[in-house]
Amino acid sequence: MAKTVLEMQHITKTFPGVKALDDVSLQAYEGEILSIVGENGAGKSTLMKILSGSYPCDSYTGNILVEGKTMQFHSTRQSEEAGIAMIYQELNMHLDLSVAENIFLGNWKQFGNVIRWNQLYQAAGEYLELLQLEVEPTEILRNLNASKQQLVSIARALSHKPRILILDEPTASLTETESATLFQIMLNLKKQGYTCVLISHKLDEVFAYSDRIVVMRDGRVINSHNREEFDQSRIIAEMVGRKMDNLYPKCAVPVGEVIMEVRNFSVPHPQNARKKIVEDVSFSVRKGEILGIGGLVGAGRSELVNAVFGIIGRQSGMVVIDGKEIQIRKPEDAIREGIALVTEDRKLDGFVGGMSIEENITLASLKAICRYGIINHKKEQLSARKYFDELKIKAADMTVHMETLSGGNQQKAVLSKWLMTKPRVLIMDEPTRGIDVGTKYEIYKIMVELARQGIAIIMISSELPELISMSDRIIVLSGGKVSGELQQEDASQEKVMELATRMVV
Amino acid sequence: MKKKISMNGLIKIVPLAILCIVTGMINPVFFAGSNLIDLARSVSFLLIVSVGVTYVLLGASLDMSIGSVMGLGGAICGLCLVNNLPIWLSILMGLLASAVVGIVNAVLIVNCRIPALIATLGTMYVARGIVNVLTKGEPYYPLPDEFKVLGQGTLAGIPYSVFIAVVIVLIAHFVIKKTSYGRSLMAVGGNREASRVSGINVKRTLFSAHVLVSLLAGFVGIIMAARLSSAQPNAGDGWEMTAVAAVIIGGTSMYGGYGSVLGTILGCALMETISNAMVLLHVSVYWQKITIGIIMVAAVGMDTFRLKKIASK
Repeated sequence: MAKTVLEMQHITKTFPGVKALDDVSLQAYEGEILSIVGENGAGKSTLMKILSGSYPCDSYTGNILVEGKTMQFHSTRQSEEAGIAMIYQELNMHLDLSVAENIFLGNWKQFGNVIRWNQLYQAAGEYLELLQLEVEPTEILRNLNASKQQLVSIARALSHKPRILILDEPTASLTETESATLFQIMLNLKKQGYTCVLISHKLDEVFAYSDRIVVMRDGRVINSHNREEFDQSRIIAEMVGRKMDNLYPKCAVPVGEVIMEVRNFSVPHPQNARKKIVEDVSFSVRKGEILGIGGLVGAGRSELVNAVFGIIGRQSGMVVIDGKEIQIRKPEDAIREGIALVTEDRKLDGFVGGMSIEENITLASLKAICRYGIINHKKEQLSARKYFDELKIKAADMTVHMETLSGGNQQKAVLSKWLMTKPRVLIMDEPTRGIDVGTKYEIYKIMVELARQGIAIIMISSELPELISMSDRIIVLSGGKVSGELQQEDASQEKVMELATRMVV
Repeated sequence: MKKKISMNGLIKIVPLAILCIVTGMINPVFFAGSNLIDLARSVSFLLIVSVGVTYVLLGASLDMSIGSVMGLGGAICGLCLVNNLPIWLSILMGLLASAVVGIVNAVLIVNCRIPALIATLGTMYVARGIVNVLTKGEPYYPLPDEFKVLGQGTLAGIPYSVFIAVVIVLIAHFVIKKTSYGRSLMAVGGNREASRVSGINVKRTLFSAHVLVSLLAGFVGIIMAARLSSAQPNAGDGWEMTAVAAVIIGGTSMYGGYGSVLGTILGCALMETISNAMVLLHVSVYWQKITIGIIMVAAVGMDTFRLKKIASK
C-alpha cells in the first residue's frame, strides 16, 4: 500500500439553505492519479476550494491532513505552502505578462529584490522543458493558444514545488491531441512521485488515465473504485443515482408558432478580439416550448444569450421576433421587445443586494408603476406582492434586503422581476445553480406553468439531467458553434455529452 | 424596520447634542442668537452642496471638483455683474459655467470610463485654474446691492439661504424616495451591472447626478459671493472634503446604494458645528484641516467596516 499523502476527514460544509458537503472523507496516495467524478453540484468544486484554502478552515467542519499532519488553511497561500497546487478551470493568469512572469507570479522574491531576469527566465525554462512546452519564457501569454496557456498554468503550479496537484477540468478548452499531451505529462509527474487529483466531466479521460475514481453525489462520497474494477455503467449509475421523474415535473404543453429567431450570431471573445466565442449560431424558439442549450463550460452559451439580450456586443447576427427583425443594442431594447434574461451569476448582475425584495421585483418595470416619473407605492406593493406570493418567496416581508435571503429565494425574486415585465421569451442561464433541491423543484414547476401560458423559454444548463428532463428540444454548443440538436425523446446524457465534446470545424 | 431606522437617526444626534452643550458651557457665545444664525447659514451652504454630493455617492460615483466649481460659479457671476449685466443673467451664466464642468465630469466618468476620483481631481484643478486666470487672483467687487440680498437678506431674522436649503432638501428627498429616477440612482449605486441588465439607463442616471452636483455647487458659490459682497478666487477651497465627510457621516455609503438626503442634514450640522466650536474655543485654523481630514478618514473607515459586516452575514 502506498503512502497516504493527503487525507480529508468528515468534511461538512453548509451554505445558507444547502448542505454542499456532507461528511466527506477521502484519501490520496503518493504517485497516483485520483479522479473525482460527479454531476455539477455534487460538491467536487466545493471540496477543492476547501483543499486550496479558498474557504478558510473555520467555514466548515472536519480535518485535512497532509502527510499525516493536521492542517488549518486560512488562505490559499497556506495551502500552497503545505504542498497543494491548484490548477483552475478558468484561466487565472495575467494575459499581458510574459510566460516566465506568469510562472513565478507572486514568487518573484526568490530572484532578488531587484529581479534578476536571466535567472527568472532560466528557471521558467526548466519548468517549460519538464512539460515539453516549446515556447520562449519571454513570450507574452496572450499570444499563446488556449492549451499552451493551460500548460503554463500547470508550470506555475509546479513552481510552488507541490506534492499534490489538483486539476479542475484541465482539458475543458483543449483539443484531443492537446489533452493527450497533457495526460502524458501527468503520467510523468506521477512517476516522479506527484499526486494528481483530477476533476473532469470527460469520463473517457478519467477511465483511461486514473488509478482510482471517487464518485460524489449530492455532497457525499458514494463509492471509490480501484483501476482494476472500473465499470463505466456502474460509475455513471452512481453519479446519476436518483429517480429522475420525481425531480422534474415536466409535462408537455402544446407548442405554438415560432416567436423568436436568432440568426447567424457571432460574438467576439472577451479576452481576445481576434477570436470569436460564439460563431454563426442560429436557432429559433416557439410558443410554449422549453429550448435547452447544452455544452461545456466555455462553449459560449452565456455569451450567446447575453449578446442576444444586448448585455455584450455582437459582431454579427440578427434577432427576429414574430417575423420582424428587431434592433437590440442594450438590455432596455430587449425588455421592450418582451425578452427577459435570468443571468448566470445572480450576485453579479441579477439583483441589487442593498435594496428590498419589493424594490428588486419592480426594478425592471419601473415605468409600469410610475406616473410622470413618480412611483405609485400602492401599485408597486400590489404588483410585487403578487409575485412574492405566487412564487412563495420565503422572507419575513417584502422590505427585507435581498442580500440576506438564501440563494433559492434570491433566484425566485430575480425571476419575479422578469415575470413582472410580462415577457414572451424568457431566457434562463443556469436557473438552478446553487439552489437547494426543494426550491429547484418549485422553479421547474414555475417553468412548466409559464410554458403553459405560452411563454417561450430558453434554458442554459450544465446539469445534464435537468437539461434533458426539462427541455422539449436541446441544442448543444461546442467551441462556440452548434454541434447538434436533439428532440426530447432522443436526448440522453451520453448524447449531449458526445455533442458537447465534439469539435465543429 | 421603520422604528429601527429612526432609532439609528436619534443615536446620531447624540454626539451633535453633546458637542453643542459642551461648547456652550465653555463659551456661552455659542448659544447667542447671532452665532446660531451664522451657524444656520453656514450649515445651509454646506447642505446645498452636500445634497448634490449625496446623489453622486448614492450612484457610487464621486466628485472632488465641487469646491472649484463653487469658485467658478461665483467668479463667472461676479465677472458678469462687474460688467453690468443684469443680475438674473449673471446668475444664469454662473450656473451655466458650473453645469459645463458637471457635463465634462460626466463625460469623462460615464463615457470615457476614467475613474471618478482622477477625472474630478483633474477638473478640480482646471476649474480653479480658470478662476485664477479670469480673476488674476483678485476678487470681483463691488457687487450690486440687489444681488447681495441673495446672501445677506433675512426673513424673520433667518437667512434666505436656510429657506433655499430646506426647499432643496425636501425636493431631493422626495426625488430619491418617490420617483423612478431616485430608484434608478439607488439601484445603479447598489449594483451597476444588475441595473443595466434590468433596463435602467445607467449612463443617463449618472450623467444627471454629476450635472446636478455641479449646478448646486455653482449655486452655493453664487450665494457665497453675495454673502461676502465679492466673488473670491479661492471661494470653496477644500469644500469637497467637508461635503464628502458630511455626507458619509450622514450615513451615505462611499460605495453607493445606501444612504439618504435626510442623513446628510445631520452630517452637515455636525461638520459645521465642529468648525464653529473650534472658532469659539480658539482652536487654531490650522487644526481645523487636520480635524476634517481625520473625521473624513474615520467616517469612510466606519462605512467600509459596516459594509464588510453586511457582506459577511
